[in-house]
Amino acid sequence: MSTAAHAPFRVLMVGRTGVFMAPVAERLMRLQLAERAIPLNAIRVVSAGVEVCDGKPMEVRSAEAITRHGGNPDGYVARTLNRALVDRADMIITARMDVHDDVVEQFPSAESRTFTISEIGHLYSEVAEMAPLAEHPGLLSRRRSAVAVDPDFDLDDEAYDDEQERRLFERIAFACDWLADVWAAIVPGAGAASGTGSARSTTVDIDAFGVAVRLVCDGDDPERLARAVGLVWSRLVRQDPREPEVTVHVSVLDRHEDRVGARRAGHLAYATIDEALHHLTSTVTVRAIDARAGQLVMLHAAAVALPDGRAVGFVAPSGTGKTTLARVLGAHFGYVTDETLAVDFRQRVFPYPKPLSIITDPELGMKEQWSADSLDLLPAPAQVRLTRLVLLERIPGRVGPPRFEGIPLLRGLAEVASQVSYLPRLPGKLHDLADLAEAVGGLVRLTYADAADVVGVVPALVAGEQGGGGR
Amino acid sequence: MKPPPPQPPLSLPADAVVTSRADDFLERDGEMLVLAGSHVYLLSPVAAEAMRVAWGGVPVAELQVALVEVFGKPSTGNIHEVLMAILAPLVDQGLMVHSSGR
Repeated sequence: MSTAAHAPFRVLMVGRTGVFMAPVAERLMRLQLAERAIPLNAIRVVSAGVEVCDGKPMEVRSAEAITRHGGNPDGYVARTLNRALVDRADMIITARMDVHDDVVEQFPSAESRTFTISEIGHLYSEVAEMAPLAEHPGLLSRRRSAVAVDPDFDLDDEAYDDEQERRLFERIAFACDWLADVWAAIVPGAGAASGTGSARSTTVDIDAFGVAVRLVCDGDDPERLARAVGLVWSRLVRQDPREPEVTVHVSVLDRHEDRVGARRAGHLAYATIDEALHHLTSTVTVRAIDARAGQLVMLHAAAVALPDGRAVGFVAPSGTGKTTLARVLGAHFGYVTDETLAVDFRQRVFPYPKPLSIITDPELGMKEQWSADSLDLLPAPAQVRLTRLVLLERIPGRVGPPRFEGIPLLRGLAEVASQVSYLPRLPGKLHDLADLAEAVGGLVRLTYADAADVVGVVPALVAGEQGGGGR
Repeated sequence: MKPPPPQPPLSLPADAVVTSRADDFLERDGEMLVLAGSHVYLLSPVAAEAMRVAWGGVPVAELQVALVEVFGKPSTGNIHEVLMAILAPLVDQGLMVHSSGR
């Protein structure tokens, strides 16, 4: 497993035979990553088969499909899945559930890192894009335990004709292209093209919880892109920019060939402004998280603050209602963030009122970005201090008002820890987290059904009450 | 073509030495929260005790005695098999490493 800050993220594509679909997935994924200028030391992709296949070449039809999609099938030698491959893999992707089950049966410890291609598609649509890549398997796995995933994108390798086979390989190519877009937006150095941009480029400077981020907008209409970025990130745009710690080059280009060229030059390149805004939210968030690794406790949490600066953080996995809660509470209290709560070791909060991401295209997992200003959310006060940390448990259909109660420290920390970025790089690791939890009076769990009902309990939470609300 | 057989269950001789591994840990009320790599594990009291006993490395036989002293003999099952069932997930997750014994 990768634990170093920028160790390669290792992806293992697993098929049944190791000579049919797995090599196609391996080579097309590598192609898509190379086309986005993602270096080998950022993401590495290999493949294997659950059946014994060591030393075999890939099937001719697989090699033809790779070539047809612009990849290179040369030099492929199949490998049987083994302990060393599994242990090195950060994420294991299988064609379908029976292959997944075979992997997990042989290597039970890989369960939380092993996903079908359908699970990858559906779970990524809901979660994980706002976290460093190394944390994605854990985030996806925890979300998987809470939702039923439709196996509609699983790849069947039986009973097909030429047309079915062509469609099968096209689906692999589509999945690789889609996943490469997700990963390209968040790998370390995403969008870090050399130089300052073209003569037409326009910059937007953002403050992301104290990290100066410069977005260099380029492409067909840089001004229009910059305007859209400025509107969506309105609350974080700096009029007095500092020297940027992070620079991201982003282009919107209509022609596919132009996007390929821009990506090779290190730009994030998209076909539409909406697509760019969708991925930029992840890019800015994750690049800022990367920049503050080891310096701040960064939780996947929403937060709001009272006018006197006392704030409550609501910790919950992605896709479980933080954004909705932040949107509702932000009409009554200062909006601090809907996703990344950055706190120093003295409970000082670095507000991050980023655009709120609302799913508009479940098919593609696209989320529309809404600025805090356009949603009329109240601004957070200048000085914010964390006074409460709450674990959210939303139970749709639950009857009665929200209820909160204290929970044992270790049990709470076990849940909170899974929602902390770069925990291993904090100087005191678990102890820093425990110190923070104890400094805010321990952890409480808030059970609720409807975000609107939580408005009434925020004052009690801020005041540090240990329990309250309805049954 | 058949898949390779599943991994065999953990089986360690009495003189194999097991050693706990973690990057950080917290203890409260008998439980233990362990950070290993980028993963966090909440261990039950018996797994936590095994980790505590094995920080400096301990033979399996001694670990067995130590756990029996704290928790008593298991009400059912072979005591060595019960111990292996406790250690297996710890070894599988890399929280414990073992030598093969003499």
